[in-house]
Amino acid sequence: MAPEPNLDALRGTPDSEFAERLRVRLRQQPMGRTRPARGMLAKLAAGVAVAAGIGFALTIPTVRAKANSFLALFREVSFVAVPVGPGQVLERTAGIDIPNLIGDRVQVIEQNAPVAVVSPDAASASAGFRVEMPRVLPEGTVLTQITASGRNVVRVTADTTRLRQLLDALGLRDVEIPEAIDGETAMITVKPMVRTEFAQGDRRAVMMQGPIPEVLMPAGIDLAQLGEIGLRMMGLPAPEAREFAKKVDWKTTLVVPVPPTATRFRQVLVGSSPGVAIEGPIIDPETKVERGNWNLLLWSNGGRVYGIRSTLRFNDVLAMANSLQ
Amino acid sequence: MAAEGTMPARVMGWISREPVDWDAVYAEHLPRIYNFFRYRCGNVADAEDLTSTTFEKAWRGRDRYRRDKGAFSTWLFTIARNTAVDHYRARAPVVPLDEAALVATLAATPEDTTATRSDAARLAVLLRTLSDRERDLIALKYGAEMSNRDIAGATGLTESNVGTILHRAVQALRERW
Repeated sequence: MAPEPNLDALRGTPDSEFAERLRVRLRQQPMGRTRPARGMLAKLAAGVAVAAGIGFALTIPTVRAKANSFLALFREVSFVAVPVGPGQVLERTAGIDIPNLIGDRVQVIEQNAPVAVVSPDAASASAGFRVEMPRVLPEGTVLTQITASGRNVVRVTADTTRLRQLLDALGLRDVEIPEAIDGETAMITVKPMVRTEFAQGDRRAVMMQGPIPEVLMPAGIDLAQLGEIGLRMMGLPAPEAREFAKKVDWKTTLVVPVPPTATRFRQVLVGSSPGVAIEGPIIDPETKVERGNWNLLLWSNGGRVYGIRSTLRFNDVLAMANSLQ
Repeated sequence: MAAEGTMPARVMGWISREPVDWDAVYAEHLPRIYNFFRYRCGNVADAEDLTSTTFEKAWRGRDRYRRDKGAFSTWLFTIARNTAVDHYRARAPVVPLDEAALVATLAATPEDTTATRSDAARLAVLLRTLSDRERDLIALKYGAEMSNRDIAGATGLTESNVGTILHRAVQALRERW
C-alpha cells in the first residue's frame, strides 16, 4: 500500500520574531490615502448602483444618449427584496475587488467627511433637514452617537471592457454588452445623511436617514434591460430576471438582495409607508453557535430614505421606526 | 457565517462603518496567510516576504473596510492570492537545481528519496509539480485551512468544482509521494 502524503507537513507557526517585526512595522506605517476613485465613495456608488439594479449596467444602455439629456431616477423610492440563493452569483462578488476593477471609472466630484454632532438639532443644522428621532425606545436603550455626513457626488463613466471583465469574473458570459454607450456618464449625488446609534446592553442599532440619493443617467436608456442585468448579477436565472425586470418600475425601485443566511424577509408598513424587513441569525464564527439575531429595516417616506440595522428585537425596531417624529 | 458577512451588511454598508480590531485581525490571520504562502511558495523566506507584503497592502488600505469578519477574510485572501500571482509573474519560472533533481528522482523512485528528505521538503517539491490553480487551492485548503465552501467563495469556482480539483491534486500528490 502506497504511503499517504503528509499534507499538513508545511503548516507551522510563523516565527515569533518575524511576527513581531511585522507588527511593529505596520504600526509605524500611516494609513494610505485611498485614491478618491477607489475610496468609500466609489464603493458607495457601486453599492447604490448594484442595489438599484442598475449597477454596472450604468455602462450598458441600449441606446447612445445625447450627452446633455439626462433622466433623473428615484424621486421617490420603494424597496423590493429579492432572495439570493446559496452559491449564486452575487456571493462571488466577495472575492472580487470591485472598487479596483471599476474604481478609475468613478470620479469623485464632491466629497465631504462625516462629522460627529452633539444633538439632533445640531445634526439638523449640519445636514440641512429636520432630523427625526424615535419617541419610543426599548427599555434600557440609550442614544450613543450622532453623525452627520456631507454631500457627496460621483460621476461614473461607462467602460464596456471593464464591465465584460466583471461579468466574466462572475461567470455571466451569456450577458450581452452593447458597445454603444462606452464613454457615457451618470451622476450619483448622495445628499447629507444623519446616522444615529443606540445601545441596549450589548445590543446595537444604527439608524440612517436622509434625502433619497439622486441618480442622473443618460436619457433614452432601457431601464428594464439594465435592471435585468443587475438582477442577473444578484444571481437570478436569466428567465426570472427578465420577467421580474419587466414588472418593476426602475425609476422608483431599489432592489435589496436577501442573503441565503437570512431566515425571514417580508414587506412591512412603517406608518403608512411600505418597507422591507430582513432578519437572520448571528452565528459565532468560532463556535458556530447562534448568539442572537440581526435585522435590517428599510423604508422611504416623503422624499427620504430610512434604514435601521440592529441586533435589537425586531418588534422593538419596528416600534422605534413607527415613533419617528 | 456571521451576520456581518452577509449581503445586507455589504450592500447597505453605508449604515455601518464600525472599526476593525486590527490586533485581533493580525493575531487570527497572520498564521493563515503565512501558511497559505508556505504551501503556495514552499520556502519560509518567500512565505515571510509575501505575508509581509499582504499585510502591508491591507494595512495601507484598511480605511476601506468595515468590521466584517467574513468579508474581511475574503478580502485579505484576495490580496494574498494577488500577491502570489504578482510574485510568480515577476519571477522566471525556474526550479532550483537541487529541487529539480529531486523532482526527477521522485518521478522515478519515490521510496529512495523518502528517507533523505523531510515530509515538509518533499511536499514543497511535489507541490511545484501541480498546476497553478491546483496549488492555489491546495494552499487555501491545507495552508489557510479554509473549507471547500469558503474556497469556492474566494475563487469564484463552484463548491463541487473545488472538491474535484482538490481531489485530483491530492491524488496526484499521493501517486508521487
